[in-house]
Amino acid sequence: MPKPSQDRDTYEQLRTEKHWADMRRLGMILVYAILIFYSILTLIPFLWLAAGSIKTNADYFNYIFLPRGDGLFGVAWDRLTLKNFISLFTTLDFGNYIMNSIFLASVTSLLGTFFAALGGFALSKYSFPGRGVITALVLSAIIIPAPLLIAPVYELLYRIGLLNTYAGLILPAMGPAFGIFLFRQAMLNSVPVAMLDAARIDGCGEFRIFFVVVLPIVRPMVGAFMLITFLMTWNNFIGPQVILQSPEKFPLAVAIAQLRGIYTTEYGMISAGTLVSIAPIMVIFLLLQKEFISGLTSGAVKG
Amino acid sequence: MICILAVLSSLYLLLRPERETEGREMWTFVQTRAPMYRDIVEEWGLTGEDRMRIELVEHGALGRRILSGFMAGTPLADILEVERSIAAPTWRGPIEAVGFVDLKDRLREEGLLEKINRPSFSPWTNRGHIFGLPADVHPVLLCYRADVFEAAGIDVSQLDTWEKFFEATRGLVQDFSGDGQPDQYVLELQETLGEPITVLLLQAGGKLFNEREEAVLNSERNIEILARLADWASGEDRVTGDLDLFSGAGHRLRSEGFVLAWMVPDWRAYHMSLYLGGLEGKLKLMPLPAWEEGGRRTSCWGGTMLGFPKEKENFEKNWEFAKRLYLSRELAVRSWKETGVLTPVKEFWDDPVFSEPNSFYSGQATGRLFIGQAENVPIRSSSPYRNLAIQELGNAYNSLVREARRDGLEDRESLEAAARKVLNEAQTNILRQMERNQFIEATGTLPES
Amino acid sequence: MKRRFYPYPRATPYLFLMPFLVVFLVFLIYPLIHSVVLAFEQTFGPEFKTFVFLDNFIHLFKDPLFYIALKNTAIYATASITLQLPLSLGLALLMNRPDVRGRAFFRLIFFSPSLVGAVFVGVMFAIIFQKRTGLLNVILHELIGFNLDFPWLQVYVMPALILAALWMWTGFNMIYFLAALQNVDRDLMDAARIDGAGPIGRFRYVILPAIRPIAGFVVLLSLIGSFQLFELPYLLLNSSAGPDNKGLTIVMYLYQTGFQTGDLGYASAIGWALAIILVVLATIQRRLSRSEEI
Repeated sequence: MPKPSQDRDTYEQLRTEKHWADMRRLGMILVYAILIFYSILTLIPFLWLAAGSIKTNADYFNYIFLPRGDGLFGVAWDRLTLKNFISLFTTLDFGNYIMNSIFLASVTSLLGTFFAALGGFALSKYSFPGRGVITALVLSAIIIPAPLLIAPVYELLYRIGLLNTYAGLILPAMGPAFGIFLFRQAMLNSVPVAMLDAARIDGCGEFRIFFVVVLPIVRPMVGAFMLITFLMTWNNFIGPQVILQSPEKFPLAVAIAQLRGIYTTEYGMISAGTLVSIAPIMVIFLLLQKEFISGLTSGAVKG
Repeated sequence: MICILAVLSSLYLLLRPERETEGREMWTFVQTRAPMYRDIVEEWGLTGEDRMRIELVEHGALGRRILSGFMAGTPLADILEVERSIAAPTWRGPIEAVGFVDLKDRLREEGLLEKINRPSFSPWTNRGHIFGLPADVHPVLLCYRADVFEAAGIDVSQLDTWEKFFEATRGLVQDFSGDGQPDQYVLELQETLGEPITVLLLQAGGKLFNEREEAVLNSERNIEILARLADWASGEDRVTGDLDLFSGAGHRLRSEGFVLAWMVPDWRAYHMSLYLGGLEGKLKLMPLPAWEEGGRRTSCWGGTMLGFPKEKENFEKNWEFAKRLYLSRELAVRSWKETGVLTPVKEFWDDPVFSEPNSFYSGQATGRLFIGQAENVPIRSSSPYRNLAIQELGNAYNSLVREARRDGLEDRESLEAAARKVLNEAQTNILRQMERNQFIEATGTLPES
Repeated sequence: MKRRFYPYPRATPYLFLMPFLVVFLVFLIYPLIHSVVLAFEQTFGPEFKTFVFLDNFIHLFKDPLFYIALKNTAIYATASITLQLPLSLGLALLMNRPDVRGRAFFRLIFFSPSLVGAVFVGVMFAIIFQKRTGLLNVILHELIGFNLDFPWLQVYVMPALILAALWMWTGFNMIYFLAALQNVDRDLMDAARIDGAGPIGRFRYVILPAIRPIAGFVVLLSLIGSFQLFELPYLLLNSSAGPDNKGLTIVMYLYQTGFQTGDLGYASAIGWALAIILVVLATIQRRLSRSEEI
């Protein structure tokens, strides 16, 4: 092949490569633009909520975010107020509601996870008559939609006198079928039977084996499932709405709905109340991000 | 970490100081009434058993707690101040399942049936029993922008029917921004809510339920009125504007002049002075224009009663307390001043407080205006299906208005034909629910297909 | 009979399973059976009831409100699958490019709305969607001159619901897709690229087969979640079904009949209808994803 043409080929090739690099850069800019754009879309409601919680009612509708004025960055800082938060905790019982939510969510997640891990352990590492039946029961329980049970469980709680009690909310959540299924899957592969037998030979009781040998192995699963249960209980509305009637027992989800009902026009207070209700979950998530996400996806990957 | 939270919060709940439980308890859903009651009761200096704690409970929550208390025995207060939409569902079951004490004989013996404005009992009278002591009359007047009307040279004293009213004011509908949609309407009328429609229907003598508590949504009068309302809301000559009834957004539009007149029962007239400060001195009240010459110039909107749960053993004490509170001149005066609600106790209507000029309403003696219409307030139904009926009526009106706009319905016949269709549908829907009820009998007649 | 050697007390597994079994029997099996009984009754709370046999179900078949609820729920479910999931997958694909930096940061932001409970989202968006004063209309009006009075919660209830759900769940589903994309074989991708497969071809023949199992799971999860929609519209529409019942969902109708009118019987009948719908959908979904694999 003649030389010049070869040169041209190299040249062409170089040009294409440069062209591709340009395209790549352009593509990357586009990718970042989309990601940033969507991030802003996602964040705007949060920012708006936070801004709304420190505005007075007079400013609420006049400015989308913070009131404009002569202060730093063109914001009228002196017009901002903490009054909404103060009245949340003084005229309303928000401190109490927060504690109720924390109590319900933490106790439910603790007990639920413990019994789920225990049940999952039994199903995965013991052989006993009825194992197949129980495993099938667990699987079928996952399919039953929760709303179907609202009315009959309400009547059951009425009959056994557990309406308007925390027990009426926590007890039904103590045997989470989905959790047992997850733990069974996790333990089937990751907990070696030989290790259990070795512990038994060392004279360990079955309970101790569970705590000392098994739990540490599935620790990520424990954390993840606990967080998911915590989140679900924190955000649960229909359960406490139906079962709890005394306001001093309300969790935040029910309290915020009622705050909105009474203070229809107090948008600052509604914003502050919502912010206070979602902040604890956000903080916990920020701290334990990895466990949360692995917890959510573990079900999908393994199941 | 969650372990720590669990332990801490459990400790908190265990150590949480028990709420005061001394004395008795009364629940109300009205934000402005709770502090007023507390004040009055405080002055009485009640102690021990006689003490009464006043708790504010959100409207929806109050309804749920009462239903749950009656049906499943969850705790209830000794006295319940409830609104119509809360009370009505409690009489959906057999009469023995109604959790309120029947007050009829007592009211008769103690002469309260005469002392209290008669129509005020109607929402609490069900199957021949009276389940509550009425708190109000709630006559409805028209609130209008006197500044705008006067600038346009409109003399409202001549406008005694809706027809004359809109004839005189139609010119005020204007499109300032030039986008083809008016930014100023004459009358506020929600297109998606049944409640304001019901108010106008009641004024015209229309009914949702008849005396036998049968549904009569598709009566000839209802059809006629609904068609006229749809005429107001559609076509080139549209006069009604749609905006939020209670939200801050609605108040903002009202103060910006999006609508120039709206219907106000006593409580809402007071709300306006709270939320529309900028309109002080620009508003006035007048009796509603009538549907026909010489017709009724008012209606009724809302309604609250005091009820007493059957399960409480201290009824006598609660009854005495209720009478002392509700039948006192002090409450009559204060509830007018602090919540804008007119007492149903007729002998207090001569009180000077009702003749005081109200600076928000351009110095009018608004108390006198409301009292002037109090005895003309229409009778309301107590059907357990009223919430549903109102919802159906709202839906019917909504689809009627949209049909009128879409098909350009203008003349009376085609509007009434369309109104008949949507109301027949509403009647069928509500009968479908009522006829299923195995506990009560009243139903109604299906429209002929 | 052959005797098995048990290296542990034979009661142990039963003991471990005891809490689950008790809860299962008391709070699941018993209510489940009881809901069948209830579905044949008309009640006014737990105390007053009359046996109506199949009347609840007969009524349900003719109940326009139930059909409205079913229609609304189905529209919402369809929208979640056809709008939300592609968007989630798209974001996941962008995030999965090897040269994207700050992945953890974006993931955190995208995921955060799903932590906010539906109740709180409902309260927030009830203000955001307001006419004339709401955040959405105001921003759109300033940017593109959008109608300031656009009646989201008065007329366009379903689009409003779908938008709010989009904000809430897109990031959540993205997490699943992102995990699924880890299963994509890099070598296969490179091979496809060398063979001259364009982005669409690579997606169709390499990525899609690799993520199919998880995609199926996400579809199922969205379907089940969508059919149990309640809190979001309930709070968005101020504790009601909205104008013309435009925001009525199956579970909201169940809640209203059971706990606002006190008919636990009819509520149970609605619950059974929902359960049957879900089982049918899950079966169809299984069949579909299985037949595609073959």
